[in-house]
Amino acid sequence: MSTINALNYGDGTGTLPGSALVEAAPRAAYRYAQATPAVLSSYNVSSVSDDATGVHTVNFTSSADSDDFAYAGGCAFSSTIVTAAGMTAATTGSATVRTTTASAGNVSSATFADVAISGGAFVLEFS
Amino acid sequence: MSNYKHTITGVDWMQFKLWQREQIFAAVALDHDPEAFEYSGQYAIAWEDPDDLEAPVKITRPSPVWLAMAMHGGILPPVEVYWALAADEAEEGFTRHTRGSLLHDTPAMREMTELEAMQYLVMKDVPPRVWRDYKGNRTMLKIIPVSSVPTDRSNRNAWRIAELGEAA
Repeated sequence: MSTINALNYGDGTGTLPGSALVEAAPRAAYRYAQATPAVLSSYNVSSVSDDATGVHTVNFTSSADSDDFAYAGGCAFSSTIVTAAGMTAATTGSATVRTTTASAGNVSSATFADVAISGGAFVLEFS
Repeated sequence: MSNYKHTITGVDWMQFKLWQREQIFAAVALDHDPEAFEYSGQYAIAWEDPDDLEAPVKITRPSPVWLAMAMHGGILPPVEVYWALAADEAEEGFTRHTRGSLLHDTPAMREMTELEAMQYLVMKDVPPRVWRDYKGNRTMLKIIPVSSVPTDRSNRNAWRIAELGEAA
């Protein structure tokens, strides 16, 4: 186990590692391998559920302020078969996604699903 | 004392919003260790929905970054915060959250063990009708080793949680 002093990664003027915050980042993003199943990379994702063949649900760490958010996703079934992944249901804390193969629109589990969620806003404080 | 393999000091996590904390945590950890988030945990949550008994079992895995934050401690809010937000969303006439400060201002959770983190995840991401409200005899939820998740997905939509004594 190691100790990392975050001050060493900042601008030296305070406790904030200045280069660490990314402006205009997507609200959530992830790469998911449903066959394993495993989340390979993520931002603002607490977990992903393998619901059924070609269907998964992503759960957010920081909720969206409403369930109106934009979703852009793609999935790869092989090096030559790629399609779009579609969001079929959403709450402020999760989104259910369906992946389909290109030829007949059949629901199938993609090798990788790559998703970015933007729009809306993180839950902030409102009175 | 962090249960994650690294302990990050020099950051007052509570001065940041939850999504900012994740950005800082991930950036600092990756800067120090390119393999900071290679570990995605040894457990999975297998659960079935009492409201849809014909649906196949669902397998929930944590995000490696989220798991690292949970094991590090001082970053994630108590799970009761998510319950409060879910209750708000369930109210008739809900359009958007107005109590977002709960996520960001509630004192953060202490460091968790990996199993505690999975239990937290059950209460956060699995519907309460599964882990709190179900009163039947059927097993609806188990925290299982990842190694017990079948690799052959040919009959994925027929997967069920085996009952005690039931033939596999």
